[in-house]
Amino acid sequence: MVILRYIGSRLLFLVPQIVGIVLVGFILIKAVPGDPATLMLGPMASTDSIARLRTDLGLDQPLPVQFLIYLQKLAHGDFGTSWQTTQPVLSDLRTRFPATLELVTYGMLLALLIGIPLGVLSAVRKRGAIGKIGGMYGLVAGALPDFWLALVLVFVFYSELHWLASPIGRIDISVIPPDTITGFYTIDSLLTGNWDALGSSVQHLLLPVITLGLINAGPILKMTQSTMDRMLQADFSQYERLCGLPPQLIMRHAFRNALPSIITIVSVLYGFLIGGAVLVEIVFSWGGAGQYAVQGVLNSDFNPVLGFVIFSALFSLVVYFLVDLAYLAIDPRIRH
Amino acid sequence: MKPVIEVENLVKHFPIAGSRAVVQAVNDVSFSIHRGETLSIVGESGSGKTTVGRCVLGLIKPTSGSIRFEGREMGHHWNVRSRSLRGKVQLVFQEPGESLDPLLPVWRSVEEPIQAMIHSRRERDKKVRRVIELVNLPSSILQQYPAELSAGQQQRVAIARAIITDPELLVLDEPTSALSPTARAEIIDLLIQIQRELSTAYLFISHDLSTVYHISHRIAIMYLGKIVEEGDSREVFRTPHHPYSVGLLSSVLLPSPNLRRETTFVLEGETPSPVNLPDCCPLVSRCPFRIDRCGQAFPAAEVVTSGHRVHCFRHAEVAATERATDTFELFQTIAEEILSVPAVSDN
Amino acid sequence: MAMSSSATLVLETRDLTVSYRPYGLPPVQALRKVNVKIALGEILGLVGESGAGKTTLAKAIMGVIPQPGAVEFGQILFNGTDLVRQPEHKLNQLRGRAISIIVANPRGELNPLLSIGEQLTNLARFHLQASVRQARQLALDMLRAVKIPDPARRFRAYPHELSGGMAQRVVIAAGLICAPQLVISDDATSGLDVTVQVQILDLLKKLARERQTSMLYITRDAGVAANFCDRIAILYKGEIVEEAPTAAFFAGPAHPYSNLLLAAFSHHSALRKRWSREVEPLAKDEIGGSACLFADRCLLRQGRCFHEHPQLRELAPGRFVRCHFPVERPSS
Repeated sequence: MVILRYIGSRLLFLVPQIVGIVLVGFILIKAVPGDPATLMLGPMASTDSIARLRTDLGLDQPLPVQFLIYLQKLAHGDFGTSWQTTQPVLSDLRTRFPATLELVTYGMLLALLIGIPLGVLSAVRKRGAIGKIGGMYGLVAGALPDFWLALVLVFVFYSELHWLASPIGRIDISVIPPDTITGFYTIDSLLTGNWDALGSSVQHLLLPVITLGLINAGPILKMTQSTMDRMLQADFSQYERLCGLPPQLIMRHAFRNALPSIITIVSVLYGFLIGGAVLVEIVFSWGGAGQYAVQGVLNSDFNPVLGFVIFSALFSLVVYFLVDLAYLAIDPRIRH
Repeated sequence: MKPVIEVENLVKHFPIAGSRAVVQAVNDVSFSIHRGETLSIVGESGSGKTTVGRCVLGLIKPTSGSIRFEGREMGHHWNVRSRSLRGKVQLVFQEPGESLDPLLPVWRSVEEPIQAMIHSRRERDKKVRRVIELVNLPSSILQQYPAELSAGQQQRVAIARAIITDPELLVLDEPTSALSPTARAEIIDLLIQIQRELSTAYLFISHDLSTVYHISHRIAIMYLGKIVEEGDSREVFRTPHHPYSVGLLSSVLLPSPNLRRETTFVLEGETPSPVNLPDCCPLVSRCPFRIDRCGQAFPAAEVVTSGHRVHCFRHAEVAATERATDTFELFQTIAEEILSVPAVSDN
Repeated sequence: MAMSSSATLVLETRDLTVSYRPYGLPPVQALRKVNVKIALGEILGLVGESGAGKTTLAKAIMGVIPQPGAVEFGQILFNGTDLVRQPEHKLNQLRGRAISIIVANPRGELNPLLSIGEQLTNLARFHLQASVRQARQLALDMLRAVKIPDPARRFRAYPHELSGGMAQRVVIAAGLICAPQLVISDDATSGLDVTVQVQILDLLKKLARERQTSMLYITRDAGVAANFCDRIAILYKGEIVEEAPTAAFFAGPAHPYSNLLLAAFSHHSALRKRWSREVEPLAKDEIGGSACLFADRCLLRQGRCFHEHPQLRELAPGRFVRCHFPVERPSS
């Protein structure tokens, strides 16, 4: 029951981790210059009204007090309100976070589909054409900005070739989005049998997912290639070769040994993309969480930013936790 | 004459992270070494011999026990980094390639120990040249880098560096294990020669019984943190009294067929791990001579002859079942016979 | 001598020459016209210092010489078939099955993610086309044969749970499970405790004798060769300089280098000084490209040694030496 104890101890740490992250986010946000009261009331407002608004918002309290008040509200599920959208942050994030998650998840899946096979092939056929193509790909993907690729794809496939629908938002304006179950348009429309919505959302997902997939396949490919290569050069692979075991078996074993490193980079990328896909979100007017948070920072709208920090922190922690479980499953050395 | 170093009841336990178990590396070890004498500590992996060496050098703090240098207790305040003790105890490592800084030329490496002690550049230079000569290396080697040297030469440089401070005690931890047979023989010869000239005491830690035989005056055989037998090295090699010593000596393979030491028993199995050892004879799980008493307490030292002590209840029987043989001596004789062939004179 | 016994030769290399050609650097000959013969059921010890080319020979026989090396010349005959000319897939069929290799550092060589039972059964299933049950039985039998205590439980153990000695026994089991005709041991016991080493060596010899398996025992330790091999060959700078039955060799080696080795092991400084000289820089015109490779260190060298590369010749039935002036001893 070592595993249960391990899971238990990890879950126990979750709460202090979240509090710590929120604290750091809070301090950083408050450090950014900008007064929400001034921004909210506009340039014509009088100093009195600004002061009054600040008192209303609780901005004149000392920082630690503000933090504690925030934590208190958080414990009741109140993430505050965004003065830009005038909605509670929680409900804003309830639509926006799944939007980003859907985009990023499909993007990662595509990245894995491209990156891992190419990475494995590049390692196995190091000196051949594939090896060199793999190396090139990793280089190019690292150099290209994702938003630039997004714009290029839009230009080619929409403006010039007219193959795809207008790249605005997650779904065509004329189509009604499916009922919210998970927040993923694709899954929800599948579950509710809403074929129009399914078709439209898939079409709209195509370009941004391809963008994210192509770019992020780069680091995955490089990691897979270098780790596979290392495993193939390792003593145990050489030994299996000396035992006359077939090359496919040797490759399979080497891949298994390479998995921990690959999983690590996938999890890091995944967590990063929640916020890191913001530029692509902007190009496609996705209405995702990243955009939401950026607007919050630019306008000193604290609550959306903190809300986003909490959501993505939780998400990352869950991902890392699952990754650690995966390590346990793969590597018998860790179990001891 | 006071011994150069006296170790009494040395204990070192390493805690294992994340549990309450302890690695009992050294369990109550005592010995002393006099000027110009070589004591070899012999044992396999898990015996604790390397840990003993580290404790003597002050690199590791003992869990308990005392280490006295020329009668004075070494410890918290007075240790190898103290001014009066600096340079008196030196170390030669196993891997010559790794113990020398690859970015420093030879003369810099050799000079390092006296850099803080002697301020005159000329003095230091003189000393460096002297020790390089002592280790039979040409002075042209001073400008070279370790990578340009063979392993044997690197080890000589390491020895030169170790003796430049005129140490009273030299700790050598497997100094020849990484060398080829010819280099190994040369280094051992060199060490013997240096000891004769400088009267340095040696603590020689090794598992290679051939080299131990040639360089030691006395040996101590360690198993799982305890000394099981110690005494004059020739005598212990000829008539070991402890079952483990017998097992160890019978595993020596000399380059002569049919020169394996005949023994009437074998030590089966392997050394158990030094974690959570019971407080009795450590060999009890493998010993063909074991009796109930062996599992209850560690045998006290019994005297075989003056200076030869063994920790075994049945040591007399053990010695009686074995034929007294010094295989190394036998091999020496054989080798002499074979190799003293009158050779064609050289060109 | 050659004709009748070549029919029972399991392994024979003929003038095997292996070179490494690193990019931009002069080529290095790792092995030079090496002739090695191993008969059925015979244990041959190959002794040499590090860098002499011992591992290169093992790799050449297994067909796994790393780039930028290659067999430049010569043959490796395994039961009459030249391995040098075989395609990779044919060699792969032989590896682990007809010729197997036992390596040093066993825990590094075993796959860390698979249990040892799984690794053994993989071999049986692939090479012998055994069913899962048959393979498991074979693996258990093998674990018992190498004296691993409690084999059924150890079957599920992972390499990192084993001690060095245990792991080495597993590697031996893997080397023997397909009943190969030739087992190569590449310095397999260095790094083990001496008491364990002797157990492993005794075990290997017993198993080899029982199954009439031939062995090529590569080692740096002449003591190991003396006590466990039928014949011994000395490798110096890529060349075989002496080959003889063990007893005859250790009663009186013929090559000056062999004598030097023996003297070094005896730690007899006077003897050692007798048989070696410091490497002196020799004048350019004294060294021909075809000098004996040991001439610069040799006590017995004469003018001929610098100009004529000695060939391997038979001094007595079964005794070969590569020297113009081999050591002669009054026969006893």
